[in-house]
Amino acid sequence: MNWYEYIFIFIVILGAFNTAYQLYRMVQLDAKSRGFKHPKIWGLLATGGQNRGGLLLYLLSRRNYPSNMSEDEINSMNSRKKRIGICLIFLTVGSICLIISLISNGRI
Amino acid sequence: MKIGEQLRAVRISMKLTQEQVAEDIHVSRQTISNWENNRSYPDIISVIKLSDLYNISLDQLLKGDQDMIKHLNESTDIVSSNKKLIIISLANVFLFLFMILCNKMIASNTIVMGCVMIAAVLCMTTLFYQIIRKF
Repeated sequence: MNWYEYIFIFIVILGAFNTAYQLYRMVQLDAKSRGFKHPKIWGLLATGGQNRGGLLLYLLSRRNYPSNMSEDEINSMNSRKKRIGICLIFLTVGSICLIISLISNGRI
Repeated sequence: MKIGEQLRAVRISMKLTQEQVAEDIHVSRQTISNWENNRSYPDIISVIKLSDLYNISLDQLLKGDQDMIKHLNESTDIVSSNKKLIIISLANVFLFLFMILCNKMIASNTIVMGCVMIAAVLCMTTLFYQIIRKF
């Protein structure tokens, strides 16, 4: 493996971990505002799991509970959404560079 | 004129502090500061409350700031946001159907395989971002 491929892997891991953390905090905040009993567990459930099944489960479960967020919490949610957007750019760019690098070096 | 500048000018002319305004419309002082410095925009309910408190028409508050109108449009246009989500979901479905149906052709050509992998990464991250925006 070339040195730059390690950098691409690092960028992908950085983006993935940060996305997971921001999502955990977002779900925790949202669950708290809707009066869910265990917001941290919902956060973990939504973050973990393959194919984002936990997140979809949370989105389906929350439908019957109205959100009572304060303006500060709404601002915090919007800021976290932006951070997730940036993390996803890292993730996408890192993954695409890694794919191109692996193909051009004949490893796929 | 930006909505933040308008809010600050009217508040000062009425000799109100940020704390007093925050108390009247049930938000924090930091939120008022953010609105006045154009770091964030008030939601439509807060705009109505501010227009009542400051005795300014909604026309005057909203029409001068194109960014504010854009923000309100983005936060209230559910049809357009749902449309994007449906299009991205369909793109994902078509891509995975293509991967299943044309697996022999994809496996035999590394360039095609690379293109499909890149398309899959782009589709998945875009879908995820659209779901996050719905929060």
